[in-house]
Amino acid sequence: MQLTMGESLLHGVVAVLYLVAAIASLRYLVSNRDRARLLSRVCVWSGWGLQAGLLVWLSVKAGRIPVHGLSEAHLLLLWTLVTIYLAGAKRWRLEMAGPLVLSLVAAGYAGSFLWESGLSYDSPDATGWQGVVLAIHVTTALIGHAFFILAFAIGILYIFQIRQLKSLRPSGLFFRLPALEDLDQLNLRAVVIGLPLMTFSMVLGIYYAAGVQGLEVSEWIWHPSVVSSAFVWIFYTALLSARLSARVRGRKVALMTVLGFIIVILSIAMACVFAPGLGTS
Amino acid sequence: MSLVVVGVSHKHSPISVREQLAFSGDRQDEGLRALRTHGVAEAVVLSTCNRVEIYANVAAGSRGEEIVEFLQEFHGLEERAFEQYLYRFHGSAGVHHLFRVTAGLDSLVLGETQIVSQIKDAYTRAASQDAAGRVMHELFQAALRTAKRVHTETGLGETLVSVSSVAVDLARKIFGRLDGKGVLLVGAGETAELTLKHLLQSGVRRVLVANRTLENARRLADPVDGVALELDAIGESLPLADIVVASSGAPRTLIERADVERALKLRSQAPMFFIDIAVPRDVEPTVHQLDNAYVYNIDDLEQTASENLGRRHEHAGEAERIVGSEVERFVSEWRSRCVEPVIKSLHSSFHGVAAKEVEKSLRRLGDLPDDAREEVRYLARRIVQRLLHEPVKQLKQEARDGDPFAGSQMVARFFRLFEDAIGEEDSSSEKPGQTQPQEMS
Repeated sequence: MQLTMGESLLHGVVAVLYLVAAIASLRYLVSNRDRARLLSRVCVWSGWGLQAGLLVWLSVKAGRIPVHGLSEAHLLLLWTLVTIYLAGAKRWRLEMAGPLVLSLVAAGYAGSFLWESGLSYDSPDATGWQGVVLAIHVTTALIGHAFFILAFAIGILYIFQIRQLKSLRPSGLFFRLPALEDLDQLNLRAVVIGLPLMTFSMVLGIYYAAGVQGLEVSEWIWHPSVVSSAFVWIFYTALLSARLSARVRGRKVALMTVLGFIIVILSIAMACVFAPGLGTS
Repeated sequence: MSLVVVGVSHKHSPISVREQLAFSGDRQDEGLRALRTHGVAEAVVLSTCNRVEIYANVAAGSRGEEIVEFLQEFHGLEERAFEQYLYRFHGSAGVHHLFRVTAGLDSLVLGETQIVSQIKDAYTRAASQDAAGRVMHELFQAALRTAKRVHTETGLGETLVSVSSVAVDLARKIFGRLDGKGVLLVGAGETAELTLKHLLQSGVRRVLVANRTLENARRLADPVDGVALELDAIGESLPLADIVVASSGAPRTLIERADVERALKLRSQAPMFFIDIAVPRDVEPTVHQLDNAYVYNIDDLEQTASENLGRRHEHAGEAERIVGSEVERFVSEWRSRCVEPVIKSLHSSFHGVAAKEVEKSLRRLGDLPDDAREEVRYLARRIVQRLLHEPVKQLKQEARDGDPFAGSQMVARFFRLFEDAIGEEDSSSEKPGQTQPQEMS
């Protein structure tokens, strides 16, 4: 499904809104200016609302949820990330991670523009029951990935706070950011939510490949998107296991979530480059 | 009537003078009542460790002499030696002073917020004694609003500047909530006690006190349901402590790296914060290199406190700018309101004259339909409104920009306002004594 000029333009507006929100959020973090905070909130809510409207519009237009291709999934991933950010802004004090999360979203959007396929929406390759299974598989994978990206943003904040504490000369920003334990718990929560979603998505992906499409194991097991997803899953399972058994904690966990982010990005890149036909995760 | 501020503060007077002039407890109520007998219409007495100030609404032209007399009489001082330490502010300078004091810009510790509640209390006390009226109400409400704006829009009060408060703040930045956390006190110095007090206020519940003498350990531990230990037991009790406050001053380090490594392992790597205020140090410095262990010694805490104070100074300029603009706005609004009685009287006078003349004409015109009579009355009112529109606008503008009284006094004189010259219809006009605006220039 090719986007019209108007739809592409609106996506551009969304990207600019997220970028302005990221800058205003950084300004608020550094200077504690209420106006910057307000600007960030207005921009991020406007961008989120506009993007939601676009997703609904394109779903209606295509007659399906826009998750049937990598470019579609990519945009939905960004929207999911902003949704989680907004939902947890107050309760989990995610607002302080705003500069990082919103910068990632804005950069993701910029990536979409630079991407060869631009913002074009891929054609559906599954319809009916198959389409539903595929849609749930991709959506859960996207939400799982969004939580992993959030864990990365929180991990970066944690590492910043640790460095400040260890320097023995903490800056004013240190006193404005959340406490180490809160960040550690938040990081854990993001992985605890993300991993089951990822697991469910993988199970559904296997069911889709073997049960729905009737493929032989040898036909899908070594598919790049399956391998990369399995690698992501193994990594986060090991991370969660180590964290829950208290073998590692604090800085090491934060570093691992940063590493996890790199693996997630590589996994998405692998799926983009090598796996245009078998799901997106 | 006008605003005057008379007082002494830590900046210009020694504590011996502030002690002499301080109002403690009920003496403050007594003072507020006594001020009335000195010709003060309204007053608020602010008495803290660092300042004693009287904010008063006094007769126009007063330089606050009656307040100085009151201070001497009330405190039974034979001489006026204290007078050399007194400062006095009048009108808008007084407003500026109050706004600065409330924002913490005149405090011993720049930007501290305790003064806000002290000023609130002082005002509430004055209001409860009927000593604070409209002037004080508006003045103090504006001052509190300004302080809130300063603390919201600048980082003035954001960082803490005493060693014990910085230590507690750092603990909060490590653990988040301190509810239920355990603290181990090694030694029982004064700063350690103060830090413990702050930690308990922040929610810390489990307290262990290790000291050379068990007796001294019990003295600190018992009142807070803590456990007293001997110094030898530190190693065993370390895993139970999230926060360690060390101040023993022992000649050798009491907490070794190996002890902390073992404790961290037993605690499943849950973080530990060591506040080492002992000289020589109680905690081996290399403990800070361990993951999830943070050691701040007295120098680090003092340095952080001093940097925080420096950050406050960086914000002071912005805070002064906010105070300046708020003072300007308050004074301008106040001045504008000063001419309100004159404007009211002017309207009343003109409408009175117009109505009188209209009725005379209507009597002469004889039988006119009711709607025609009403139309004539409406026309007269419209003419008066149109005629007064521009002069009233100018009067308000002049009051805002310059002397609030010059224009209004001239208008009052020209039109003989407040002198019952208008006739029966003007019986509701306020008398000079009732309506004279409060000076704020």
